[in-house]
Amino acid sequence: MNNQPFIQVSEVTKRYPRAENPAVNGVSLSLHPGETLALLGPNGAGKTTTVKMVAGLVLPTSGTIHVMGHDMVLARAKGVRHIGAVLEGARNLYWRLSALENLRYFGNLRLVPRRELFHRIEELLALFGLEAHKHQEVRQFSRGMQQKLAIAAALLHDPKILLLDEPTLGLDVQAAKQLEATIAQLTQEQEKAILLTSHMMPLAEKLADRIFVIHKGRKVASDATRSLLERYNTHQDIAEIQVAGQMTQVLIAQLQQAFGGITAIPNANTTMLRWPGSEQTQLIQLLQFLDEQDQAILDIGRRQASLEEVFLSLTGMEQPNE
Amino acid sequence: MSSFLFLVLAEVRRELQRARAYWLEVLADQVLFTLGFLLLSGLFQLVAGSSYAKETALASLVGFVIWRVADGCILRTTRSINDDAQAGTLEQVWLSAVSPHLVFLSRSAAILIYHSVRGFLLAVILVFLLGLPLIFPVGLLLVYILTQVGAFGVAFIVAGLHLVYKNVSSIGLTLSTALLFLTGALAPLDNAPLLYHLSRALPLTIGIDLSRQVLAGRLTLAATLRQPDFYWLLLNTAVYALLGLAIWEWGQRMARRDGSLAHY
Ligand SMILES: Nc1ncnc2c1ncn2[C@@H]1O[C@H](COP(=O)(O)OP(=O)(O)OP(=O)(O)O)[C@@H](O)[C@H]1O
Ligand SMILES: [Mg+2]
Repeated sequence: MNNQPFIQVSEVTKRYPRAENPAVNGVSLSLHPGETLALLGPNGAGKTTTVKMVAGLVLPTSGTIHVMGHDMVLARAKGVRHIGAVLEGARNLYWRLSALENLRYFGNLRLVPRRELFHRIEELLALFGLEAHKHQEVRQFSRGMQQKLAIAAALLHDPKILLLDEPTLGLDVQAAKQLEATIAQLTQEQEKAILLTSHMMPLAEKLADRIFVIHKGRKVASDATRSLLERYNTHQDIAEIQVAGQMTQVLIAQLQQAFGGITAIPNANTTMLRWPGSEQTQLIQLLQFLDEQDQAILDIGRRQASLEEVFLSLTGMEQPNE
Repeated sequence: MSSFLFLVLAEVRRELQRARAYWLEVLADQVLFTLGFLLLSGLFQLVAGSSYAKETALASLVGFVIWRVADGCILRTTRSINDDAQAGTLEQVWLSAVSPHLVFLSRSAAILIYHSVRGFLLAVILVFLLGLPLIFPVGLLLVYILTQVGAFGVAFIVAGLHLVYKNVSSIGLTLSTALLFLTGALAPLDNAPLLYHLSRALPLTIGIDLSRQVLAGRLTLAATLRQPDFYWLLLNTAVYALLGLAIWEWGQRMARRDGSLAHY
């Protein structure tokens, strides 16, 4: 890995005028070549503000931001050349122009030489599967197609850095999956760095090498995706067994003594047993035990704790109802 | 310079593509302004009776066309700031390889070229319909461009304010309509000396006045440059253009502080 990061955010704070609390508060992060960093956080956490400060669209109150070594306040013009960005919620495109016209126009804004632009457009249309629609006006595009075209437009000048703010926002499941696959392809490129924000934990989990969790403008956690998941034991299986009726306290105590780590959650007329990290043989022993105790087993399931649970526990937010 | 021309070309192309998408509106606009002028000049003819000579009609026409081009440019500039902010394309402009100022300068040039062509067509049709003499002294072009640059100053003042205080762009329409009457674009304000002197502080007035002098006297370029009004026009244009740039620069800085380049 190269020593100089593509993006270096140091101790950055953004206080919007008339806002009570800073939107971003003393955040530092860096992004290296070939890396994909996911900025995760609940609504209003400061993700968009951070991304826009990196792009020089929002001025920081304090701290510094360097893009390819250029200070984004003092030498914005030099840094911005290396950035392609698709910003949250906006179309980022001209509605009444066709896909091709949009790409051509934005390519011109990025001063891509004519001949190169021509090839680049063909290449990107193919990559995003939009060739058949290139003469269509963007307003006729589905949200998913629009978003793909916006990303294509951001890639016209082959920037080193791609900023994607909530790329799957407003897309249906299928379109989101498709877009995710395309972004996954982009993350493979060695000489690019991608900074993406999302609410979708699975998206971040799949695409990002590193995850930066931000909450109320502050860093809550930052680590390689895998270590973050491991640290919070999330790749452990959780066995969940639903038993008919309310279990007695005595029985629960017996269970916990025999099988360490088990928890029992009483419901109206069932009891949910939750056992993280259990192995197959242990699970069979548990089932035998329950059978001996005349407990009627209604349902057995295994699942993986998700990044979502890690995220919720990190930001101290309520778990969605059990 | 070469990237400026490159950008102007890109902006002209986009202006035309946009006009194609809205072709019906563009056509309706052209017809509306043609009929509008015929109606107004018809009224003047009624009021002034037989004294409404071809020379007077030509003076009205030149004022009207100059105003109409400025009106088109001011409206397009101020509206597009609002539209671009909403579509997020304004932020994309800030991500371009050149300074956003250069992009907006080339945008203005493209808008001016586009509306000049439309204004020229309007003029030709009206000249033909009213049977006026078709003359075009070279000095007129210079006066015309200087006048329109002043109008862009107004557009940039509105656009800059819009970046900071949202929903300002809609005053573009009020402003450009007011200019039609306050600058004596339709009929010279000779009969109202006070209003005339005040109106010279506005954009367009001096330019329209000077254009009329150039046309009436068939002035050569050299003669145009000798008119005292030419220097007043230079001053007026410089003041509006500089004010426009300053407010625009201030507005974009404030917008980046407030995070309001895009607003939804
Ligand atoms: N232009 C602005 N002016 C004032 N306050 C703002 C502005 N933009 C954002 N904020 C505030 O700053 C905080 C962070 O907002 P930001 O948009 O960065 O969060 P986010 O993490 O992107 O949220 P979301 O997930 O909803 O997109 C919020 O409290 C928000 O209300
Ligand atoms: Mg956001």
